[in-house]
Amino acid sequence: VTTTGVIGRANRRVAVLFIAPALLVYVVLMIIPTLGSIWISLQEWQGIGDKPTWVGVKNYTALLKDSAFRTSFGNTIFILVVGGVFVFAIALLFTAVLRDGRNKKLLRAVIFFPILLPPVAVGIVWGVLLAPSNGLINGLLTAIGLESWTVVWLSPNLIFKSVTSGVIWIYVGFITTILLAGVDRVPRSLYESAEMDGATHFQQFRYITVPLIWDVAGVAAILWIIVSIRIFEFVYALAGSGTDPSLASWTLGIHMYLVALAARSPVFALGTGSAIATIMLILVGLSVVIVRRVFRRDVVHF
Amino acid sequence: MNSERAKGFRWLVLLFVVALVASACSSGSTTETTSPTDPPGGSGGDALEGTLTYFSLWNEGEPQQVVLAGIIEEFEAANPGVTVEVNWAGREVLTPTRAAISSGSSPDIVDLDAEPLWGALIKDGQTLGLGGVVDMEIPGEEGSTVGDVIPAAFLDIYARDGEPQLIPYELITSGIFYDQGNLSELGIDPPETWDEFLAAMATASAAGQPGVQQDGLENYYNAYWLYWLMIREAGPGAFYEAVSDPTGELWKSDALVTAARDLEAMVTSGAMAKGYDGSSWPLAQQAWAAGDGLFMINGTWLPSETEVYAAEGFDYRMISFPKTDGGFDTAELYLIGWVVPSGSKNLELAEAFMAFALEKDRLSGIASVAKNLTPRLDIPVPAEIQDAADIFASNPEVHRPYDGVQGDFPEYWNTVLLPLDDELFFGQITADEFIEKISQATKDFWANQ
Repeated sequence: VTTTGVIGRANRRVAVLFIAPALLVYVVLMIIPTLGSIWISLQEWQGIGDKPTWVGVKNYTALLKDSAFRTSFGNTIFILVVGGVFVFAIALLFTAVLRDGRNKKLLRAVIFFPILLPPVAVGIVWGVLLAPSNGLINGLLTAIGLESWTVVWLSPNLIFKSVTSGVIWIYVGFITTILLAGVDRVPRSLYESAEMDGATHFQQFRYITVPLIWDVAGVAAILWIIVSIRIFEFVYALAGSGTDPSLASWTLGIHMYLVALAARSPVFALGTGSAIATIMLILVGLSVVIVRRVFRRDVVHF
Repeated sequence: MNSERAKGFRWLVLLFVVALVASACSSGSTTETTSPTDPPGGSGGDALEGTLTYFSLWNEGEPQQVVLAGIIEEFEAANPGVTVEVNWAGREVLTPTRAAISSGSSPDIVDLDAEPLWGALIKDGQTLGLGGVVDMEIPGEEGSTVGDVIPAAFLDIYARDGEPQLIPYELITSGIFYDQGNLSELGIDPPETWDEFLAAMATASAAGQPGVQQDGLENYYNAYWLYWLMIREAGPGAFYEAVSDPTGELWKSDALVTAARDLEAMVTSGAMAKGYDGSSWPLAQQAWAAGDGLFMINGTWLPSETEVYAAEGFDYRMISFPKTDGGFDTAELYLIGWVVPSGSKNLELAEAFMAFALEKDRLSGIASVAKNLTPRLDIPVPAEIQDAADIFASNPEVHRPYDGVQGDFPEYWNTVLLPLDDELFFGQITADEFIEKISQATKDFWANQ
């Protein structure tokens, strides 16, 4: 036995001791409830007055045949993909503009602001902004002579697109801030050198900024996957406006809440609710794997 | 030396774990010994003693909460051995209620709208019978029992195995509201039939105001129209039976098809408020109270919700839903009341509280402060909802809100009825398409259960 080996083992023991409390908390508060939820998803259970009955994958197969689930699943994918494309496109644009320039700290604070607001309050305000006759947007369009452009923003055909726009508005600043944190790490000398070589602002962004914030963008994408798949409060407040939202605006989170918990017309189908939660978990896992593959490359040291 | 330290450290960790487990166990037992649901000691005598746990749908500061808090204070003053612990939980009171029940610390009283209480607790046998309350004398009204002052229909509608399970303290109904001044200016009499109602809408529309205002994002309010038309055309129970039919064929009955066509006639009349399909609550009802629109369907809470926006001189009036050729003329009985979950060990205290709270002067706060009807028809009500009170004065036949579908079939209600009703109500599909779609969707729903 070498000295290094003894020290190594001692270090491992110390490491285990340090990790153990956090691991214990994680196992008790995350792993066990998650496994419990997966187990409940294989049962039929109302929570009180009945015992869980094993039904196998019936809750999952029933969901696949359920048009309401197809709607909520489709809406979630819409926010994830379409919302994601817009969030990252706008965030990259902001990143290019806000890299340097005057008042950049103030502007960063302003675009970050929406994420600090309570989502329920934002949802209610958006409901007022998008009101059909006396809302701010239609009111402004009418005031500047564009009455023919006014539309019923929260009508069944448009409501989910309006909801997605709201989600984009909330999260663009958040994603931009993360990307800008990556930009701030890039040495200024690279930009100065590129500028001396005659690179345009766009070329600097394309060939310096984007490659060097690629890892940070990957982290931001994973965060986006998590927040977009479990989005709930804003959609509930905007589309529900005082009651449960109509099916056209359901996301997986709202669907789970309405079937498992105390909605206005409570169902308390805990098995179905847990099945939706498990599907959300799988969806997050799969999306993260895909995004990690897309963003995979050798780490650039600078 | 190192190994001694390591040993010492292991002991410390072991000690810590033991202490943690011990404290968890002891805190568990402390909770048990001080559980508020324990039976009150010495309750066998005349004087009431113990702790009553009450979970309420009201949030602190709401008028009903203020009234109930006052009654609770009086109850505690009248019974010095009794403490009432209240959780003002808000509309989703069933969430903490079910969590408490499943953890073995059930509240003694829960108050909420009767339909969700029926669906979540009563129908599955999760409540204690309250037949005893019906025969209790009301403190302060000697010789008068609860059964004497609350109509039997209000106590029987949520009975299980013939025994009342819910004691109501607030009464609501839905109908069509209007401003008498607006109606008079248009030269219209209050419509009594569906045809007269459509004609009144057309008159308002011709005069430049919407015939009906509606917050279309409130799908429950949208569903009022079809449900009421089905009640009027087919009678109570027809909607419920159509929903319960695994073949979906009952939706194709003549009376229900007629009800859907009645609704189609209204939404395609051109007299609905512009953009009603995208109006977020409460914008349309505010616009209506400000004078923009003739009619608004709603519950009797509408005057208290809109009075701050009401135009000067706004004279709240309400008609019962217009009659159709179907000829069914029942009244909607929407109750808010108390139940005792079956896990409660304080039934006697809970019953005593209910009888105490139903005393005329105490309960009158629901009318005078919260501006709502009470199940005691001898309590005067504010002028804004006098029309609603008049509906019940003649002791009409009553039916459950939404014909009981919301309470008994919540999943169907959320995933089949409301989405398809919205499609019809927003004019996206015709009545005949609606009947075809809901018939098929009903069949699919039951096949998937």
